[in-house]
Amino acid sequence: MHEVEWGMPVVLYLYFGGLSAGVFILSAFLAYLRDPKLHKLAAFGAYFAPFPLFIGLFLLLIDLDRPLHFWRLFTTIQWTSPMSIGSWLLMFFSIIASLYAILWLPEKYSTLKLGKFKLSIPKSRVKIRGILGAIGFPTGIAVGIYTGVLLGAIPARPFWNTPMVAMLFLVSALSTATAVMLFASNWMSKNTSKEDFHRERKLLYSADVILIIFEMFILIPYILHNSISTASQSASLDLILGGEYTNIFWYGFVLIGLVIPLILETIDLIPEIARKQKSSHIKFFGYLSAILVLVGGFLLRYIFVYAGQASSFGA
Amino acid sequence: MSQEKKYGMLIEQSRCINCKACMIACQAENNVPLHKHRNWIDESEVRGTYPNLGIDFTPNQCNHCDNPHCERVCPTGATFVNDDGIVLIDYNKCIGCRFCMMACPYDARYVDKERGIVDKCTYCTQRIYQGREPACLETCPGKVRTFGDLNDPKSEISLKIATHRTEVKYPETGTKPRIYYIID
Repeated sequence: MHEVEWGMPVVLYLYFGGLSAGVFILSAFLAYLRDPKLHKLAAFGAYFAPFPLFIGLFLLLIDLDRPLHFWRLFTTIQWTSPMSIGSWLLMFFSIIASLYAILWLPEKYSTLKLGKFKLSIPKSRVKIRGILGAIGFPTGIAVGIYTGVLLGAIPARPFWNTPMVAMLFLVSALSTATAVMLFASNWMSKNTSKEDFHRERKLLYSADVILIIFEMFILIPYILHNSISTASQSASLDLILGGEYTNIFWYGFVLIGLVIPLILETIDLIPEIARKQKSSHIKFFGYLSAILVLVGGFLLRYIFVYAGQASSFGA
Repeated sequence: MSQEKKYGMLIEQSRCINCKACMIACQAENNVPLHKHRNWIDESEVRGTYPNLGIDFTPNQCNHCDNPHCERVCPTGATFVNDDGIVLIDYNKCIGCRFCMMACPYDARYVDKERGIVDKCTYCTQRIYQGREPACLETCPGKVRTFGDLNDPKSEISLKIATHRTEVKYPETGTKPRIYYIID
């Protein structure tokens, strides 16, 4: 395409939207396990989840050419438009995530006051947030998928036009969310008992290792299928196989965002895999792999948003 | 039986001399912002070696597709297909998300920054509904374009399409475009 019409605000929005969805999913799942050792992490996830999405939505809003007309999105449902469905989905999800966060506030906050406005939190908050978590879980998956469908459901951009993009974005969203949790687990570890910390670590590392492997095996068919597909599809792949985005894709996303964190996390899990003593959990590696995964997730969105717009049938 | 009109265009690109008068006529007629275009001309690379040379000029614009992806993806319903087959934009409803620009395989749309909306060729509705020709057509010295009702078998465009071999651009994208190019 001649010009880049979707720039950094859209990249960040897709990134933050997926991150929020992922963190919510993890928090709801950890709460569902009802393991007191993981309670702190579930609470952190609940508080954290709404905020990246709010930032992303704000960026998206100001990226519109007529931001003050955004409400028109909510005067209609266009069933064939991924963006219309996605807007409603995001509204629904932000409400759930916000209520869920409020319900996780400690017992001592039974009412929230904001001037004249008062909100009493019901006594059965644990039960209600369990139900909200159960509703929000599939909604979060839908949000994660939507960020990829938005790009994929367009035949005009061959680089995007495969179902793999939606899957890749969903799994990457879950992986970046795991990284945020990992970072938080490290950060809060002073007040965590050794036992609890070990439990958090093992769970998060195992989850992220699985997710990264999934990502790799979504990428491989994405590249294989596109390279043997129609002329426009295989031509679009040149963007990351020798073209403009080659280095950032392979060194940035694949190496820094997938391979290195996968190695770091696997090394930490080796004692567990070999059923030997518990891992030592070097904190520095925890921080490092979390940051690398977060950088990789961002680069993935960046590469796809920009390279997709550079791909077309005319080329 | 009265039938609804369906407007389309036929382009005989071998007649195009790349003078770009159509681009200027369109900009003037439709108040197109500077450096933006509703129609444009692609130049191919020069083929062959001197003195046996060739070059193609291909006029382009919105294809007013039967199955327009821009209309499908529009989240507010701003883009719509008119009864006569012309793909139009309800400027009040457009919020400037630019999803339509991603979805158009022809890259026929542009942002009008001043109005905060996306715009494109309208086949000069303001002219054709008064019985005049679109501006690009009227000004063309080579008579490259033919405009008319595809549903009327006796219209000039229908007769030309019937008697020539034609093709449309990127039919594989499923847009069912309605700008025909004569193959020569």
